[in-house]
Amino acid sequence: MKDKVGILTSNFYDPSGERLIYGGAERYGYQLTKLLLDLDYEVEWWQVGSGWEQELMDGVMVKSIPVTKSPYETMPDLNYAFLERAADIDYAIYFITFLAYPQVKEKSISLSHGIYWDYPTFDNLINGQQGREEWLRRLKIALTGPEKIVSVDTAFIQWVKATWTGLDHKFNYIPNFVDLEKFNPQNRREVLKEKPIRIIYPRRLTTVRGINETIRVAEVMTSENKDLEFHIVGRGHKDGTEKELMKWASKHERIYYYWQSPERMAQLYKQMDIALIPTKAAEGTSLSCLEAMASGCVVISSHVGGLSDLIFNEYNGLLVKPTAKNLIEAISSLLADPKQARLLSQRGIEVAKTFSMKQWRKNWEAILKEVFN
Amino acid sequence: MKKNKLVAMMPVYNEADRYLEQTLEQLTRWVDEIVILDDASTDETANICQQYPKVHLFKNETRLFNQDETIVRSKLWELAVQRNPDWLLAIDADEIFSDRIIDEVGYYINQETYQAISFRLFDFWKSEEFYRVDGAWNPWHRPGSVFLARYHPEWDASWPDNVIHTGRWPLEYRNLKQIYHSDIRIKHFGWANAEDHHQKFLFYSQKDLEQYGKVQPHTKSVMALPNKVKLEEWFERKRSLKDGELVNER
Amino acid sequence: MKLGFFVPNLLSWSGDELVIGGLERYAWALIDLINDLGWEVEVHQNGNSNWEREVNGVKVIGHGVAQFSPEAVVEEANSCCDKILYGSILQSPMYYKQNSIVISHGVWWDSNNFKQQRKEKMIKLCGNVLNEVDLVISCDYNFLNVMRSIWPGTTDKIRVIPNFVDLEEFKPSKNPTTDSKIRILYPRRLDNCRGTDIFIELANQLISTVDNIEILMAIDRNNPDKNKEIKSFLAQDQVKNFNLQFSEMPAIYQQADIVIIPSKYSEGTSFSCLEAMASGKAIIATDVGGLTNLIIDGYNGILVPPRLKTINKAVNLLINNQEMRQVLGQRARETAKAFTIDRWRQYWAEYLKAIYLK
Repeated sequence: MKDKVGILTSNFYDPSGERLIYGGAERYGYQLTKLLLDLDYEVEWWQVGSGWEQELMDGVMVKSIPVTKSPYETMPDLNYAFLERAADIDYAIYFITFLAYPQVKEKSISLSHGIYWDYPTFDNLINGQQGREEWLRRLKIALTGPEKIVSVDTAFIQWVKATWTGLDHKFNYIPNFVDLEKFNPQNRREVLKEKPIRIIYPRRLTTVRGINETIRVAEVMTSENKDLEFHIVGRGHKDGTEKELMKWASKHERIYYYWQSPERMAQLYKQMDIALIPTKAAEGTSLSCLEAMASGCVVISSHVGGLSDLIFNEYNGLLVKPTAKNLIEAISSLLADPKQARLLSQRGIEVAKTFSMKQWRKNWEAILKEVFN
Repeated sequence: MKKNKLVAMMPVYNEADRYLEQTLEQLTRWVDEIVILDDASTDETANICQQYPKVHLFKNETRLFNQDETIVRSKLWELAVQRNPDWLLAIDADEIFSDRIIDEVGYYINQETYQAISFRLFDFWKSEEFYRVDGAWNPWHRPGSVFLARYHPEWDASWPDNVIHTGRWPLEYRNLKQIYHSDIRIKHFGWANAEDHHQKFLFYSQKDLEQYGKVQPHTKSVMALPNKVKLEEWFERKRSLKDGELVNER
Repeated sequence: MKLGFFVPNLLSWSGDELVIGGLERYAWALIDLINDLGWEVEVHQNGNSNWEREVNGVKVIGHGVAQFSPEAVVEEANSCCDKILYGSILQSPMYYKQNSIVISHGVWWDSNNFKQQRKEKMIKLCGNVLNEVDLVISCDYNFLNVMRSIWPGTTDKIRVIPNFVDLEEFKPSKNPTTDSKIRILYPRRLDNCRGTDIFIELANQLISTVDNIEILMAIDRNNPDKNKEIKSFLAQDQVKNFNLQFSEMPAIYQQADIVIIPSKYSEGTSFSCLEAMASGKAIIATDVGGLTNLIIDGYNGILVPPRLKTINKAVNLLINNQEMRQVLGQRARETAKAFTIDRWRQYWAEYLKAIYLK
């Protein structure tokens, strides 16, 4: 009989079980599932929901547990129910770090997608400074349980080491992946050669991703430079935001707003010269950043979280503090020196090859072997 | 690479003086076949349809839609799937996609990740420039509607026991998990002509009574006082990607 | 304009000797830049008595009060300088002047040797620094990330300028050695935060398992005790010793096939790592502190957690793969081009002017 791996997450599907949420974390979940199946494990997902069950892919079920509370940004009820109900699993993966609070299966791994609390209003979610202590206490317990913790960036590991003593040995850094068969520079336009020059913001329309700075940059730069085109490509969390952006873009001649499926993004990047990743907080080794880089766009990224694991300033992109002024300066510097921009793009392509799916699978395989044997 | 086949299915009734030509003109540019069920039109509808080579026209001898919508929808489905589609488009004669669909439909129906594609539908109100945005009419706040879905020959196709608001898809297709929500907009002109409103209102009110025992709020809102109706002006958008080139959306 | 510059030990406590270390090299490079801006620099530092020296045309003032309290040195420096630049963050609370810059050389408390309470103290301390000064220049993004995840509101004050390397001084050898020996270099001070203990254990394992291995290991004059402790290790045939002197380092790097930077904690954008990169060497570094801002695993080196097992695995991979060593080395040299001193000076000049000419 095959060994069975249970993976606990909060939302693979939305809690009604009706819609698959298909963001970066979910893409990660798919690939991890595929790898486990290839290694001949049986896989079962557990998440929040009314008790429904869904088939994620052939033979892989997602089961749900009715949980409504998440005190101090943890989900102890979900954690407990998983432990009791997924009794037939041999190993567990806690897909989000805090889900390993308060208790874990004996052979388990947890996963960090990066530091997600590095913005001032996070305090509101955990009830201020007093709550912060309790939240930290819980997070530490969550880190103590699993045998290994895989982190998608080094920032999370470093924060843990700066915060607590005695957890170092658990960590393994496995950066995110990029599918090089899809995202590559084949048939791409040469960087900064043709007019109009195209700049893409390939992220969700949220404040932490830097949409407001991008809007400002787009307005200022398109009004000053007739050769520039801005493409804001991504969905909002609220429908109203999408409407506002559509209307806004329709009023500006060379500003575009739309979104595309992940499959189509690969085509799109080939038509773009510069990619903006102006994240202000809550960032790991961003898939968008890796994909833009692999496709040969010159990346201008912020210095937040895992991005400094991917971009070295003035080597394979530009790394700036994400203010509108800095972004404008960074874009202008590339426009002024296309030769340097092409060098950054070339090196980006080379660096991105290091983050191949193949390497990612290899790294994960080693951890799985170590813990699940 | 094999290109998937897309078949459109469309019920029609006396559409000659409405949007039929415009709809067919555009559909011809991006679907492989158009299966039309004419619900016993008494005008030029059938003749118009026959001018388009991609159209397969079928005709009811007597009008069925106003008696039992389910009969019409299920018959149309049976006719459409006989064309061996990989993907199906469920569309009405007064619904027009933004032209971007012509460039992008290939990506939607040749991908592996999603089972269906949903779109935002804009209900034009007493005009072809303004759409309605109050309450349940607001296209920005309601979930997208599925217009495109992958056909599964191995699935059953069953229909609800409704006489009205049957829905365009068999029940098996209504709880799909992997749905991609497109940002391409669809114009719906069913309410664009103010003169139709009263008659439509009466029709739906009566059907509501048959089916639910009372007139539904959405039906009532058709006759809402002008000060309750909120409108927004249609705005043009730019861009689409065609063979690697960016072109403008109309 | 006169700018006070607090550096704990630019000279030794007696003021008679130059101290050779990363911090001090950083300080001298900054002094050069400040002079080039046309400003006068006055260094304040720890002393075993009150003394004054002039070194390379720079006035250095030793404060004897340092023997009793390191903070008192800063207080004295604060009172004699109108404008002051703090060369590092002190490990105890003190008063930093407004309209000034503090340099962070990275997170220094990310170790198990720091008990929980002390970690919390260090974090609070950095929080205070961020409240008081106008700008913190950090040599790595790690410090910034850690601070942002604790004090997200105040990190606007942090700017990162990674350390630098001289590409002319450190460059790949034109005549690489052709014998069959594999030379493995540890180019650091003897200090456990730098992973000396891991390296010695690793070297011993390699000596007993791999033929033709040669270990290049520094003698650290600053740390005679440690040198004594590892005397028998150093005495082995396969271990070649050299003096840790800056002027000799370019040639030492050139001899090596593999350079190991096994830091365990308290690491920034290490000069040693940058020099090994500029020398075009295959590098194994740990995912500690600012090293992650220099090495991308599998691209221009190998990045592993600071454990014997992981480093051992990486070293064996490289020993058996000459082509991989070459590719990683070439890319390391290429990467080093983004860390030139010119670039470092350019960023620093901008911030110095922004704060002190205000």
